[in-house]
Amino acid sequence: MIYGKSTGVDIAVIGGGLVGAAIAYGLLEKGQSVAMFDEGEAAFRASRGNFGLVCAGAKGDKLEDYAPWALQGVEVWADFAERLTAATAIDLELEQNGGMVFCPEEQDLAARTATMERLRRRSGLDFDVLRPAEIARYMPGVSDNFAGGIFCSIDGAANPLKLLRALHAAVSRTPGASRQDARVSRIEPGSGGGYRIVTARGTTDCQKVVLAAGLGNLAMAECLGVKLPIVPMRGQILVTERHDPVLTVPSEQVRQNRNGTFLLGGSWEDVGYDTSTTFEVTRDIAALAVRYFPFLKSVRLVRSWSALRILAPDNAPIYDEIAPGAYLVTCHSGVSLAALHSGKVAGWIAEGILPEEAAPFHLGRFAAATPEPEVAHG
Amino acid sequence: MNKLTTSFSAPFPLFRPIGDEPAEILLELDGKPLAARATDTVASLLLRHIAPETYRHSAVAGEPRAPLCLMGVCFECLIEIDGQKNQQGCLVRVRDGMRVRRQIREGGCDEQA
Repeated sequence: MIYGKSTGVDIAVIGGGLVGAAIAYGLLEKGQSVAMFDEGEAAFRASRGNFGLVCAGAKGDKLEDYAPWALQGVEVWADFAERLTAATAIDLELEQNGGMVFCPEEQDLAARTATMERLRRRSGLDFDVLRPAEIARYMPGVSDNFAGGIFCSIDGAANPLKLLRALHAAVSRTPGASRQDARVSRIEPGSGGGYRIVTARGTTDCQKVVLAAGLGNLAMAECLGVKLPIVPMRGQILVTERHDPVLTVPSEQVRQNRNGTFLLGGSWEDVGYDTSTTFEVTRDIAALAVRYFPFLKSVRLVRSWSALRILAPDNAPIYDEIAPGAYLVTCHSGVSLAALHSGKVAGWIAEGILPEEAAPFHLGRFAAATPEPEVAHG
Repeated sequence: MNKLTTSFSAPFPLFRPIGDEPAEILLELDGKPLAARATDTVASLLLRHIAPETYRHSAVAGEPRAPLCLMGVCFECLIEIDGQKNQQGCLVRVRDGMRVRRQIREGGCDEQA
């Protein structure tokens, strides 16, 4: 693919993962002129390694404002999927049959129930507290070797790889909008206002820039003199061989894909930028999955991988205009929030007005924890 | 022996044996006895005794599948052996007393009588 030495667009989106591609898709839908810069295989690519839950039930425990935002994101997901599938003919394999949060011990169940009650007062998200015998109605084959779980009927899962492929297909319908193997080395002030995006292949001038590069946002924000409080948090995932379809309700520990394979996961490791997999975590993930679903004992693993979550101190997203016309979007939940990112968040970038319910996610909320007087507030 | 082997004889088997090696290994296919040659793999044995479209149904779509590459690459020959599902039949040599079970959807495929 050849682009000119220097080209111009209204909006440059840095990052071609689930966040960047959802925003680029949304901006194109709104008639904006967009260039999406996708780094390529060298990137950490959380979008290619994630579990695919479409989930509100587990969100907001550290920042209550996240609960209604996540709920809204899950509520509009089906419409978003329908439009994206209509545009690309790619089935996102969305299923919202409910989602389960397992609580191994009684104290876990009590604590989780208290959190859910607190968040329900904020967001209205409904849930059920279930014992193993009741969970078996939703999840056949579940054991009784744990305290219980929280069931949110609105939750579900999609195929994150299909989602990413569909977003890229949708963006690529506009010639020149999707720029592959286009690692952005820096953002510079534009000569006539706006910004200049610099890659190895040339430069692109733009009026606005969206920082949606996952962990790459750290370096991008630094170009604008802003330090971000995001860190990598490793998750390891195991995938099994195919099995007869039995499980239509997912959890963070076990979900069955449309193709019959099971994904096993749920590890959280603070190990920096290390994307290797380890024996100990593989063993622990498998052991917990078998504790909940004993029949998995005879289902064999095919492979494993790890990916890095992009985590803010309160696990919630950050939306902020960190410099005039420079929009920061970072989050851990690129799947759950994809519909909102292509809708309201793209609208914010196009029209400049952040919806009231997204206002709490400004960068300044971390100012007390990470004193950075030069940080701009949107 | 003849009676045992004919209980799984397909009307048009995909393969026939070469040489005159005796069938001296006795195993179970879907709970019924079947005699095999010592050099057989599970896949080679079945390809002589069942209609290939009754070898396996895929896990999700339930489509008929049969051994293809016979060298461990294509994973089409998956079959339950001694209680463990999804073994590669083309890589497993037959053994006396082995219990082989085809992964067939219930009601999806006629038993060879």
